[in-house]
Amino acid sequence: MTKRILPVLAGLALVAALAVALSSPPDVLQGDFVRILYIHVANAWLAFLAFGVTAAASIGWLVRKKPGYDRVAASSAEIGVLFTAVTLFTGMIWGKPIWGTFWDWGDARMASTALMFFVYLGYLALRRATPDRQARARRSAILGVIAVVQVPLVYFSVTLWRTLHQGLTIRPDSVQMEPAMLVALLVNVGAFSLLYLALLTARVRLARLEEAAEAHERAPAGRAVTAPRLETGQ
Amino acid sequence: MSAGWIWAAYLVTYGLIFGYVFSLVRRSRRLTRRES
Repeated sequence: MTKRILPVLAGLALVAALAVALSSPPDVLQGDFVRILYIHVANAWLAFLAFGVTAAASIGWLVRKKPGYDRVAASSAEIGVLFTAVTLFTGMIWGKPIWGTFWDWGDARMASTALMFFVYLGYLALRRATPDRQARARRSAILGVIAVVQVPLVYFSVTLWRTLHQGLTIRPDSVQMEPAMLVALLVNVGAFSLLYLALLTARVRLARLEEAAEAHERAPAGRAVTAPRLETGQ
Repeated sequence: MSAGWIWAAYLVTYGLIFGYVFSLVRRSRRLTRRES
């Protein structure tokens, strides 16, 4: 049921999010460039959520050793990397006209996000480099738990180090945003959340297919290709 | 001027997402075909 409903819902929500983002009022300082931030911020938050799910599923695997946890952890990490890539690219495109530069390694938020991106790329590389299923699940679960430390580090990097990136606009105690802009941001967050769920279910299904194919390839060879036994003739 | 940057950001976003969805569908189809 969710196989068809979730992708359709996510697609419709993304179209609605695009319409809301492009019709929202321009910002006093940034003008129309604020429209880039709706996808930039939504993807950053969803990347945090995806890596949080990876960590939770990794703990689940370490405690219960069920393959389903490993599938969810790996799938969520892959989608998190996709959302982080979108965050980095949209941030760069926004940064050029607003800050005058695509990238600044001296900025804490940019540098920590790039580091998080490469660490999770390493997580995916580690999985590909480990052929044994059990060892792969164990190693990536340990890395999945350790790597999530970066999420609060990236989030609070703007308050820990005052560099180029602006501080937190949305806090638990105050929201410094026009209501129309906040609605546009929340609609985008909702749409990308649905997309995350749709991608996660599809990726977990694919992981199950990959495991079945892997098990088929590693199945012991049949009688016809086993080494011949010496018959004594008795 | 601003429209170009905005469309570039949206093209990159949706391009990456559609590229990933396409790769999921392609890999799923290949494995399903191999299974059957």
